[in-house]
Amino acid sequence: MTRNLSTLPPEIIGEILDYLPRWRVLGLASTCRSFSACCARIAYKRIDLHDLERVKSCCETLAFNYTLAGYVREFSIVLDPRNCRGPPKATFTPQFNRLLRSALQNTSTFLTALELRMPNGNVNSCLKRMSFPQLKMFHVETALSADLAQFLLAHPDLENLRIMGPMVLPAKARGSRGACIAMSIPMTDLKKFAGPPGSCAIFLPGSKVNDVEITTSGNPQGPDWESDFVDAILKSGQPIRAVGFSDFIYRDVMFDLIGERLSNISKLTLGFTETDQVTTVLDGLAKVLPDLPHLYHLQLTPPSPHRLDLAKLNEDLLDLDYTLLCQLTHRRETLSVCDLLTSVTWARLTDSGDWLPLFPTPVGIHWWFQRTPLCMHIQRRVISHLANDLADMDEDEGEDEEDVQPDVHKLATAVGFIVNRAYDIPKDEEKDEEEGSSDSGSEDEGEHEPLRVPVRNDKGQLVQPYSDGTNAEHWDMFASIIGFVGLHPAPIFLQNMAMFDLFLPTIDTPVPLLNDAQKELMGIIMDLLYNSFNEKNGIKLERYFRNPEEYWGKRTMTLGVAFQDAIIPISCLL
Amino acid sequence: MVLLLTSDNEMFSVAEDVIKRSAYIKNMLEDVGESDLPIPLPNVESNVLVKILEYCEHYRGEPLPASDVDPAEIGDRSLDIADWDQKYMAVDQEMLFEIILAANYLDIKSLLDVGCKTVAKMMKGKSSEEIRTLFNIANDFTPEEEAQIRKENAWAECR
Repeated sequence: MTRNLSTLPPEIIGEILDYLPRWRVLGLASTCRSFSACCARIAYKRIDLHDLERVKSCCETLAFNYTLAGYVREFSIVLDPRNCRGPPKATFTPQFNRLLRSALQNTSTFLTALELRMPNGNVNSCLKRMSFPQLKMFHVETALSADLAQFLLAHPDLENLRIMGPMVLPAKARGSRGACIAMSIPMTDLKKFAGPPGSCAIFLPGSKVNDVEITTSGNPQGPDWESDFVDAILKSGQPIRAVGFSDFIYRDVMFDLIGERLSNISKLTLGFTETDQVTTVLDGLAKVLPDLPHLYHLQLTPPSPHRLDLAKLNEDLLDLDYTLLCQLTHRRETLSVCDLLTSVTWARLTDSGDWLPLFPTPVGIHWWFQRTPLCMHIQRRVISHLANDLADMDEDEGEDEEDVQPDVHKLATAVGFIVNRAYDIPKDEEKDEEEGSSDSGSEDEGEHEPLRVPVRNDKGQLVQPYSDGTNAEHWDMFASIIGFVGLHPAPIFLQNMAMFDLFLPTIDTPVPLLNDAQKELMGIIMDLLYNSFNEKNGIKLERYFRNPEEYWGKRTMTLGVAFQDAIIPISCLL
Repeated sequence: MVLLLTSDNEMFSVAEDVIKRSAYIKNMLEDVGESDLPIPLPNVESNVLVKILEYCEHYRGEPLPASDVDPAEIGDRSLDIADWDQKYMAVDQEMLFEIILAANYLDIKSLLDVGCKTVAKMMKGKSSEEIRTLFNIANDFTPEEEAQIRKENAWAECR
């Protein structure tokens, strides 16, 4: 019998497809029958939808195809998260609601996670009388109404609940005794909770919540308002480790309460509603930080209209973040992870403790690079090479444009020379002689060496350049990429060679030796570059950054390009 | 030494520490104990077994992977393949699939992974038409069915 891909057993086809990006798998469903179910099983397992047209078309499929709907385990609709308002109310017609309801109905048996963030959408009517026996995570952007309370009463097994909206429980839903505190929806497995302040008293007593977030405040209600919900938070059966606020109006008393009653927290998130609250929050933080001895994760979340496009982030903004971080760290040395106002996550290098923005684009990496003393050296060398190449190009004008490319080997050895010297790796007389002689006549004779500083692969093993069996061109490419990243943003330089000529004479200064902290930084730069190209997996964050409570888990980082909402790894673009 | 009998009735005599890379045979040896009787492999032909043994021989002496790996931990999903494995897998498609099936049957996880990665790498970035051509797969859908599948999955297409 002739073996063929389509004759393999489905579990092996599934195994193979699992290696492909999830968003590409569904496109292969129409290959043949044996593929179709495998692809669907993988692609429908987790559905994330962000625009209304997709929501409609996906719900149509789920509403009419019970088999496909049965594959869904996690279902998330987040419409327009950037500008809070979402599509207008008129979009959510009764037909739309019916469609969504049927889709949810078909997925209900196996669904474990459901997220519905459709401001203006009538979520409650879609969920009415529906039951999801396996549901563990439920996030919803709607008011906590009597209908929603009914739904939640029917789902006491939730482990993760998030309600983004105010409390609008009518008086009669507050129980016959009339008081709101009489209402309780026990959830004994609940570990993570987010909701309006008043809802803490409904869900937290007797739960296992150790991570709580106040999702909205409206206007502070009365002088003891803050201490009321802090009381409720402390009624959880577990010690509280993480506290957060989003869209909150802060008063000084809030920070006093955190310092006095929630001082064991390791994670604090402060979100703003109004920009003018920045001062209140920063002052409050300065006051409370010394009282939080276990705090390692701090997150400051600006209101969404003020959030930056990643694509527009520049190095000046990173500098601002960095200055603030240094002040904060001064007051609380245990801090190890911060998400700051630019919405960039910062992490601290394991040994030196220096902060780095985890913004793995050429902009971010150049910011890292500038903190090593090598950046200027590499820029000068790379530019002078490119300038020479351009000059050569002018001479051979008849040549086909595509043939004119930077001499990668020359660039690579120029970078190699600088990095080797910075790590105090002496010149290898025997091997490098050829390099020198092949470049004879060049003005930089002797300042070209193959890179000899080892990098770490994604398994943490040291790899010695040019001696691991991969071909030399790969290593040349890698070393020249170090040069190009140092050069970022390259187009400015390339347009203004004359300006750069002014800097070139200083090339005579010797390459500085790196101290241990600088070596740590240069090491992560090279490892990140090395592990981002040629379909590699990026670097494991836990290996490089302080990692309290295993915070980084298995997370990795790959060099990419920033678009509005996401950083696309370079390997996906190629 | 362990005796193995392939589906085409060829007998192989293999060192125990070589073939123990197969969890299937390792478990069988542990359960049954020493025996002079050959282990029948009705799903593996001799030419495939030769190839499988080449793999086991190459990795002889390297620690066996832990048997109780948490299936939830997917771990390494990269398409990185070691140089030797790449050369080893440079065979025609039919043999490639035979190796994968035999690795699955004999429960040699690392070899199955390399095989699956090799196929995934061949598929990467290709459309369903290109994949049909590459692997010589017949389109067994009627045009209506194919249209239906495309329609159902339209929500996931890149726009």
